Amino acid sequence: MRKKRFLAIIAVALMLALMLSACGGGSQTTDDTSKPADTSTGTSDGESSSEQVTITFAQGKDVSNATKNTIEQFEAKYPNIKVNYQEMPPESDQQHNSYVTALSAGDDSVDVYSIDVIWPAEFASAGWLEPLDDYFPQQEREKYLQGPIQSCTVNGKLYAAPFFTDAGLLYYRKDLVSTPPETWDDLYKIGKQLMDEGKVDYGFVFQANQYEGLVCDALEYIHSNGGKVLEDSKVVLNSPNAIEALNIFKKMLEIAPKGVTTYIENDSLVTFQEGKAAFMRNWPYAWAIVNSSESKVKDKVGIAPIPKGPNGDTTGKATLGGWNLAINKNSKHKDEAWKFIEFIISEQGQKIQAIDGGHLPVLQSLYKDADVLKANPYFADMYDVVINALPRPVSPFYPKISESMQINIHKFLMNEIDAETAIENITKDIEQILAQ
Amino acid sequence: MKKNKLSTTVFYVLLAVFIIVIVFPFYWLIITSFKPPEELWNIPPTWWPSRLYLGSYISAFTERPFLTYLKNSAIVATSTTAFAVFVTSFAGYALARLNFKGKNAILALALAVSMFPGIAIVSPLFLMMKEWGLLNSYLGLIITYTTITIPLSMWNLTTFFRTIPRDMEEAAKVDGASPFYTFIKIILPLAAPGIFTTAILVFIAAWNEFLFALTFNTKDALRTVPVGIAMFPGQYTLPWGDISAASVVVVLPLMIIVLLFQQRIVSGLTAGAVKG
Amino acid sequence: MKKHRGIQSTGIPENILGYLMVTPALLCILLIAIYPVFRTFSLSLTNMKMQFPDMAKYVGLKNYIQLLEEPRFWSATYNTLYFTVVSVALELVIGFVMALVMNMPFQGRGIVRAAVLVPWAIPTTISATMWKFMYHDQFGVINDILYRLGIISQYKSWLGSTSSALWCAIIADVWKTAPFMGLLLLAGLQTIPAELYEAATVDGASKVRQFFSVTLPLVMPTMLVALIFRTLDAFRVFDLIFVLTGGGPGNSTETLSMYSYTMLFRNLDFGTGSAIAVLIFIFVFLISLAYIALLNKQNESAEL
Repeated sequence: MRKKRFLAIIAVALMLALMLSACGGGSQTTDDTSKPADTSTGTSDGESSSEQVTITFAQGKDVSNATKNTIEQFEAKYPNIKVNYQEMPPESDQQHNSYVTALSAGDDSVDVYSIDVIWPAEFASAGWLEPLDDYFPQQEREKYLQGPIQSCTVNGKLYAAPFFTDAGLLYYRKDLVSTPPETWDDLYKIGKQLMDEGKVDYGFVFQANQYEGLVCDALEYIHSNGGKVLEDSKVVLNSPNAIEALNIFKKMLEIAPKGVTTYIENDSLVTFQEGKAAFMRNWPYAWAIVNSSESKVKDKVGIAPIPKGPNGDTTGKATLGGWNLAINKNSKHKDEAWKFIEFIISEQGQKIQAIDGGHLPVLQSLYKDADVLKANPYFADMYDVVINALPRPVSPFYPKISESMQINIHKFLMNEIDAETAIENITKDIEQILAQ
Repeated sequence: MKKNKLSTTVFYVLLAVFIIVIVFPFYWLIITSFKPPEELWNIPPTWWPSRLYLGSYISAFTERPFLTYLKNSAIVATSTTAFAVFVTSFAGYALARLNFKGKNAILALALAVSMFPGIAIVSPLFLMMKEWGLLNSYLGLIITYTTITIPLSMWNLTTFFRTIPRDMEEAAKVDGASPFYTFIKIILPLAAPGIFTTAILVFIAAWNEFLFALTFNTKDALRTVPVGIAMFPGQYTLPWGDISAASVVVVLPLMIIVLLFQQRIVSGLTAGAVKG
Repeated sequence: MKKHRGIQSTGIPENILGYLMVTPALLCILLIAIYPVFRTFSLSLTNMKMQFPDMAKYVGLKNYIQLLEEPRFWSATYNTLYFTVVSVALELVIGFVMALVMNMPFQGRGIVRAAVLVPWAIPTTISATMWKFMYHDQFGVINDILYRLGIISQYKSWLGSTSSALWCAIIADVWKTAPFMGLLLLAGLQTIPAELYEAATVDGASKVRQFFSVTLPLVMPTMLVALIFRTLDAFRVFDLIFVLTGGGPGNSTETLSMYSYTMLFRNLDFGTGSAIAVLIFIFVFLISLAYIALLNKQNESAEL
C-alpha cells in the first residue's frame, strides 16, 4: 500500500509539472503555431474580419523609443493593420542564427525583418526574401543614400529597403588636438607625439579583435588608400595599395593599447571615455555616450571623417554599417508588410529614427531638416561621411569572405604572416569561394 | 597535541585560500553590481564601490521583464529535473540490478546522444518543434532539456545503484518483497545522495542552457533567464552593471537550494548501513 | 523460496520488467534525438549551402576528405585536444581535493559546499564575459592583482597573445567545472562504508595508504562517469571560447565546435558544418569506448 501511495505522489507531481508547462505554454502554442494562418485572424475582434491584419516585425533590441513610436504612429495611420513587435537579442550574430534557423525551416511567423546591411545577398540567394522592385520604383530610390540602396541590391534586383545607416568616424580630443588629421600618417604622428608628451596613455584606440568589426576597420584603411576587394564579382584585392594599407593599419598598433587586438567597440569606447586615448575610431552611437555624465571626456570630443591614405581619394572612406528592412518570402501579408516598410522609410518614419532613435537616416533630405539637426547637430557633418562611405563586398558568400579576411588580417596583426601573404591568402580564398 | 593544532590551523588557512580563489570572481561580480556607472570601467579597477548604487538592480528588473524570465526558467528547470530524474531512476535501477540483454547497448545509446554538439542539432530540432507546434512553449524546452540531461542522469544513477550492497536486496527478497517494492522502499532512500546530486546537476544544466532557449522561444514573455540576460546589452553597448546585478539575482536561488539540500547530498549509505 | 508478492504475483519475469523500466527514458531520447542526428549525418554527405538550397547534391565522403586535408581542421583538433586533456586533468585533481575536503567533518562545511558550487551555477555566457573583463589588458582585475603582488611589471594582454589565450580559456573552464567533478566525486565518496576505513586504521594503514587502497578503487566507477561526461563536454566546448576569444588571436583558439558553428551558421555551409559535427561525434565516441572499457574492467573487479 505504501508503494502505491509513493507512486501516487510521484504521479501527481509529474502531472502538476506537465500541466503547468502545458498551460503556461499552451495558450501561446495554440495561438501562434497550430494555426499557420494565425497572423491574419483578427486577434482583438471577436469575429474574423478580412480587414484586420496583424503583421510581425522582428528587430534587434532598440534602446530608444524609436520602435515604439514608429509602431504607434503607423497603427494610427493604418487602423486596420496591427504590428506585433518581436524583439530579438541585440547581437547581430544571434539574430542571424535565429533567422537562419527559422527561415531554413520555412518559418512564416515573421513578416518584416530588420536585417544587417551585410545579409541581403546571403538571404536573397537562399530564397528567403521577397523582391521589392515593384513596391519601390527607381525614382523613389533616388531620394535615398545610394550606398545603402546598393547593399540591398542583389544581381540587379532589390531585395530590401534601407532602414537607417551607420559609418565609421574618427573621434578626437579637441582639448588636445586643434585640427583633426586628414591622413593616417598625420594621425600617427599626432598620436605618438601626445603619447611621448605624456598627455595621454595611448594615441589611438580602435577595434582589432578577430571578428566582423576587424573587417570594418581594415577596409577603412584599404578603401581609403584606393584599394578594393571585389569589382564586378571579380577579386581585385591583390594590389600594392591594399598591402600598403594593411601596413599602415599595423603601424597603428604601436600607439594603441597592447590588448587592442582583442578590442571590440565597447573596449575602445571605454578607453576613450576614461580619457586614456587621443583618438578613437568608432560608430556614431558613441557620440552620445562620450558626452554623457559618466564620461570623463564630456565636452572635450570632436568628430571628423576617417583619414585617407597616401594613394587615397579626396577623403577617407568610412565603412558602411546600418540595417535594412526585408519581407519574408513566405509572408502571408506582403502588401501590409510593405506598407509598414514604406512608412518607416517615409519622411515621417525616418524622422522618428533620426530624432527619437539617434540613427542616421537614409532619406537624403533629412540631413538638412531643421528638426533633425536640432536633435543631432552633428548630423550636418555626417552627410559627407555617409555619402562617401563604402559597403563591404556584396556577395551571397560574404560571411566566408569576411571569415577569410578576419583570420588572415588578425594573423598579420599578430605578426604571424606579412601583409603580402595575408592579401594573397584572402585573394585565393575569395577566388575559391566565388568559383562555386 | 601541538601537532594537531598546527595541522588544523594549516588546514583552515588552506581552506580559506581555496574558498577565496573559488569565490573571488563571484565577489567581483557582486561588487560590480553595486558600483555606480561612472566607476564601472575605472582603470585600474576599484575593489570596493565608492558608494552603494542600487540602480543596477532596479534597472535589471524594470528595463526588462526579469521576473518573467525567472518564472519561465523556474518552471522549465523544475519540470525537467522532476521528469528526468523520475524516468532515469527506474532506468538506472533496471540497468544496475535486473538481468536482461542489451544493457550496455542502452547505456551506449544514451551516451551517443550527448556526443553531438548542440549547434549541429538545433536546426533539425527547430523544424521538429515547429511541426509539433511546440515553439514558444514550455513543453518544447522541457522535452529538449530532458533529452539532453537523461544521459548524465542515467549513467550517474546506474553507477549509484550499483554501489548499494546487494545484501540489502537479498534480505528484502528473503522477506518476500518484489523487485519493485525493494526499489521504492530500500534502494531509493539509500541512493538519495546520488539522486539529489543528479537532481542538482540536471537543474543547473536546464537553468543555464542558452542555445535552444534562444532558438525555440522567441517571444519575450517566454524567454528564460540566460536568453533574457542576453537581451540586456545594446548593439554595441554593454550595461555591465545591470548584467552583474541580474546574474547575482540568478545565482542566489541556486545557492539557497544547494544550501538547503547539501545535507541530503552527503547523507545516505552510512546511515543505511548501520540500520541494516 | 517464497513466492514474491506485488507485481511479481502477476508473473512478470525480470527481464521484461527491466525493459519496461528503461523504456520511458529511452523513448524520450530516441524520439527527440533520432531525427536531428540522422539529418546531420545525411547533410554531411551533401554539399548543401543555404545560399543555393536547390543546388545541393549528394557528394558522398567528399566533405570528409576535404576536411581531413585542411590544415585548419587539424589545428582545431589540436586546440580541442589540448584544451580537453589539460582541463579535464586539472578538474579531476582539483575536484578530488574539493570532494575530500567537503567530505570531512568541520565547522561550516555546509557553507563551503554551497560556496564551492557557485562557479558551476553561473550561466556560462555570464561567467565567460566576467572572465573576459577580468583578463582585460587595461581594466582587468587579474592584471591589477598580479601587478600589486609584483608578479608582473606591467599589465599584459592575456587574451591577445597566442601563447596565453588558450590557457586563459582553460583556467576559466577549470574554475567553472571543477565543482561539477567535486560534487560527483563527493557523492561517490559517500558510498564508501565507514567500516572499511576503520578496519584499515586498525590494520595500521596510514591515511595516504588508505586513500590508495580503499578510497580510490571504490570511487573509481563514479570517477569514470564524471570523467566521461566531463571529457565529452570539454571536447565540445563552444560558449566559453566564443565569448572569450571568438577563436582568436590569429585563430589560435578555434576549437572543433567553433569551426562547425562558423561553417553552419556564419557561412551557411551545411554540408561541411555537419561533417565536422559528425567527426566530433566520432572522436568523442572513440574516447568514450576507452572509458567504458575501463569502467567495465572496474565493474568486473568490483563484483568479485
